[in-house]
Amino acid sequence: MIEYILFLAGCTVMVLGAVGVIRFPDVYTRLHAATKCDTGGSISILVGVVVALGVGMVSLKVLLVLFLIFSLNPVASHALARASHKFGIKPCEMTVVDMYE
Amino acid sequence: MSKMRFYLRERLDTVKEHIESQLQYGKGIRTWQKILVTFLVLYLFWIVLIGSTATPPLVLGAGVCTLLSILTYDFFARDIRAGENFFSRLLMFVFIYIPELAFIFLFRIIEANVNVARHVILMDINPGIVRIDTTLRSHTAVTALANIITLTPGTLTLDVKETLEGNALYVHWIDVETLSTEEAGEIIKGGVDEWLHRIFW
Repeated sequence: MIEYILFLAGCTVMVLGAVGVIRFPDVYTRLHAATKCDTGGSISILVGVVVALGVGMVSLKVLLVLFLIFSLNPVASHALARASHKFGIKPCEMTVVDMYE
Repeated sequence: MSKMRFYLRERLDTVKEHIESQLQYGKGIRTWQKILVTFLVLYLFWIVLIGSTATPPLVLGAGVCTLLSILTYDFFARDIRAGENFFSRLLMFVFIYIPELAFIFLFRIIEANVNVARHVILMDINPGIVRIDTTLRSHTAVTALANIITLTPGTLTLDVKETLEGNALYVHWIDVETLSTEEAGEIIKGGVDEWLHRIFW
């Protein structure tokens, strides 16, 4: 029962992230939606998988996948954001301050 | 004139502190401790990936991990802070520090998702790129801090620059609350800065 609730929560977060990628105004805010919801949704779904499988070596491997998502997702989003700033893409008009450069 | 002199003296103190910390940073922990830390991490990964508790793979893994940790200890454990008692710090790290970080982290990620969901629905965003300062110096520690900032609510690290006091991070913040560097640093970093200070330079 708990695993179905976790799966549902993960899918909801993923859908909200996809909506955010469409609705937000510029590259940087879109990256926020994409990365945060990716991490949260995959945590929820993988924890649901662990609950469904029970304690064992396979669930340890699922936790390893979770750890890799944790450490690789920020690196990818950081590289994308920095590359777009270096390339000269301006933040949207709503932006308050730009201390970089 | 006197103001100028004070400024120069402050600057000189900062430079001296920087050089001293760089000298300290070169030392780190001892070589056998580095090898031990690398071996433990590699062996844990091996056990998880093998996925069985039979004797032959465990013995083979111990041999391979020993060889690898002797070859590569300086890549992995270079940035760990030297301390008085090595084993008590290792036990503290496994049983106290890691659960503490996981606990902080779990709540932050839940908060991040709720926040992003609210921003998506209401579009009440207020984005901006702010600069925050940290006193961490080593590459491992700054990488970990930048990754954790990217995972926390509404912040995304853009770039890192080295300064005399440590490092400066440029962070894209989706809902800017303050423009001052210190206050922004306190809000964005939370307790993670101090947590990393216990382990890394």
